[in-house]
Amino acid sequence: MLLSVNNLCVNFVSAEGDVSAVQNLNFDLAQGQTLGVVGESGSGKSQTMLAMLGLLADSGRATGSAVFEGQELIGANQACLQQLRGNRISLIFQDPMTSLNPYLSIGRQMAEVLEWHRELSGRAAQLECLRMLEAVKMPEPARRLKQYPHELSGGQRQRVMIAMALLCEPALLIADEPTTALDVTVQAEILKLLRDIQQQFGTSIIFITHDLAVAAELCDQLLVMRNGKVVEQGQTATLFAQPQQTYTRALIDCIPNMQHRVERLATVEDYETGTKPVALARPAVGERLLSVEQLCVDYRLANGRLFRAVSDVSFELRQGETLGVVGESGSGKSSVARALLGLNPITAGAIHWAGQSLAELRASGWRALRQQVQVVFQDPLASLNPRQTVGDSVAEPLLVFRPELSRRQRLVEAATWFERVGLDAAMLDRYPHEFSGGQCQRIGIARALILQPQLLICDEAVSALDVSVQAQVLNLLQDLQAQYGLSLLFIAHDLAVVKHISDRVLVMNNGQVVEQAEAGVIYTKAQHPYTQQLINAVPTMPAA
Amino acid sequence: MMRREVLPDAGGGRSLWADAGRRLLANRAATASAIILLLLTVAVIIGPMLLPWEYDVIDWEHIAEGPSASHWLGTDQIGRDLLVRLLEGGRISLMIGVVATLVSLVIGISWGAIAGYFGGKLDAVMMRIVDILYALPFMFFVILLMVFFGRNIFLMFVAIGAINWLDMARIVRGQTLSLKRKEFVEAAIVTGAGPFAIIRRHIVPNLLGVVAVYVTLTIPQVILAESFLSFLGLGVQEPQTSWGALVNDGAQVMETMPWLLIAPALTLAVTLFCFNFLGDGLRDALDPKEQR
Repeated sequence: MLLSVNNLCVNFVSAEGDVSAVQNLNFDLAQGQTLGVVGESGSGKSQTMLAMLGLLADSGRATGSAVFEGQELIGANQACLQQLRGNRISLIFQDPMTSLNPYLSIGRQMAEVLEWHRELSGRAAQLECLRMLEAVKMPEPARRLKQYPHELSGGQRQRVMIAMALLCEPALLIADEPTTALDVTVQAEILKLLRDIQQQFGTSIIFITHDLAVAAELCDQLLVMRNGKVVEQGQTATLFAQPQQTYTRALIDCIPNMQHRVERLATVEDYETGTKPVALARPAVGERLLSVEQLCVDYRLANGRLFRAVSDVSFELRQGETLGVVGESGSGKSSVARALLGLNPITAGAIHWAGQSLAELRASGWRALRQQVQVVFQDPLASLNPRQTVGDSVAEPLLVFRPELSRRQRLVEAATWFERVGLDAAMLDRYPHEFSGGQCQRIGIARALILQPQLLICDEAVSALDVSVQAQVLNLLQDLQAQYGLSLLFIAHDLAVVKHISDRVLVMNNGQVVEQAEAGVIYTKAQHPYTQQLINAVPTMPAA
Repeated sequence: MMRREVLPDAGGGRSLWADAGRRLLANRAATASAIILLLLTVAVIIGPMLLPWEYDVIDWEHIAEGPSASHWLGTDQIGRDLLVRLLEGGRISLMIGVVATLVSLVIGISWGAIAGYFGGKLDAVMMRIVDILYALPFMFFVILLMVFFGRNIFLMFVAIGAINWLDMARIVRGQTLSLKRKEFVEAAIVTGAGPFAIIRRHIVPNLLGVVAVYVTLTIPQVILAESFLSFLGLGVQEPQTSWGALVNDGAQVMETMPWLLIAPALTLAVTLFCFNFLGDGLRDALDPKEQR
């Protein structure tokens, strides 16, 4: 056995007493195997790995045993662990941008690992780096060595991280949410790369993720964790065919499926309470609200040249309808949203809202439009002012549009919306950092809806959330749409999510619309090769 | 419906400032500093009235004597009571420190936040004005003021304040540039809030951490700048005095009459320490993420 973990526990010491992060974890990992550790944020999956590598925060205490290649890791001294880290055991983190030093060239940072562990330097080290970049199928590897992290795309940076992790040909590679920050298409490439690497080098992999579907793509065995405890573990195929625990079942069912569409996604709570809420009827599609004709948006780059982010995009949106916009980062989908919101100027084309052209709007016209068109952003925490109570954040639109209300009246109104998005009104006077990502996103939705707009633009509103939370937020959006007859413009990079919630789907690539189709038929009738690519990128789960 | 009743209590009182006050009170060092500063302020205001000596009256029987029962901190070379002079000087120093800092705070924050938030041509013009003022030598500027308006203490406030806000404006502008790209600012734009409402509600509260630290650096700087001006004969004039001037005088006779240096220097040091602790405490208190 390469790695054998027995009774591993992690506790954090705090002023209010010990907090248990991981309890009695047991697993074995054989040479060349892949273990998926699946759980929501806060389930203790990352702490487990940090404990094994001696990287816990100062207040963390690990007990139990983790034997790697015959050596006990728990309680081993730092010098010993340092010899292992990056050498026999390598780590890849979630965000490839922050894990790379922006001031060092790719070649330089990669060579550092070799200097540490293999005492290679200069030309020999560079050749080794080049060989590894080729192994991770980096386009133009020789040129990359001289480049800096910001010159690479997210996917390329993650390839560099993987190449760095493999330099010393480790026996074990720990990947902590390595694809969560990436587009689905890039995620698919990285997953394929990890599979290839494993065959080529025989490396064992521990793959940490919140998404069971992603884990299923790659892993032989799965370990489902919740609140620091193992819920279920077993072979991937068995686990999917016969999940023993309702929690596992729920994690499988909360992922939107490409092949068949459910009216309403299942959530963990549904399974735990045994309820099965029915989807509310979709609102009747009414008259045309928004029409976009040949919209073009240009950005001026730092070198003074113009970059066309959106070119000739046209679409319509009716009342009560959901239009999904899907594409990779850089496809121009967010630029369309920003143009609609007046956050970016438009270069050419026209946007009409209820028959009126946005270009002709004066300040008072924009104010009226703000009341009807609202937005929910991607990063739940960043979209709330950290120095304002969430109640004040939610009530802020009222300050502009209903100045006659007193602060108390505004907060009462905010409380109503707090409850409508499923939060406790007693939490109104807390600050954003006291909430989880999913709760922050609910608060963002409450702020967007307090003016009762007709159109809600969701710009990657669920992309930063765990799949289990994503399902809850998607359900919430659908419920609110049904109750208030909202129109939704739903922007995301994951086709499965977009297809689940939308009536029609707009596929964007390089600033252009490549395909526009009814959501129901896009899977079977996709015409454009790019749409096909997006479909193939969605992780497929083994049939239950 | 039960929950609705929670609201009036829960939602009514909690604001950034109320919370900051509560957190500040929980910070012992900051509270102690605030109390010391408050006592000092009261002392410099009413102290001279209660003491039997005047700051410009000479006691012919006790010239250049150390601390005694009649003169608690001793007397200077020409027999003036040091305690009363220290308190009298504190009026000038504390007033300069607080007023000049407030002036630089108000101008600096508004100038920097407006330039940073609106950007473009306005930013360019506003920041070039700052650059030009930077290029003016401080002394030249002060002398110019004195020549035009004659010597008076009020002008010193103007001179010091007018120089100090430049740093503040630059720091605030830089912070504003990064803050205005945050999603919560965009969300506020989309809710229809006007630019000045956004600056007031979203930009400035998020600047306070940096500003609080900078203010604690500015107050000592201003107090020292005053003593420098006084030394050159451009600030307060004898028999009026200030802490800076007292330290300066004391330093010249430290070998023969050390008490003339020790008392003012100690007072100045304690005051600056207190401002530092208070500033640190304020910065932490204004950050809702601090657990207290």
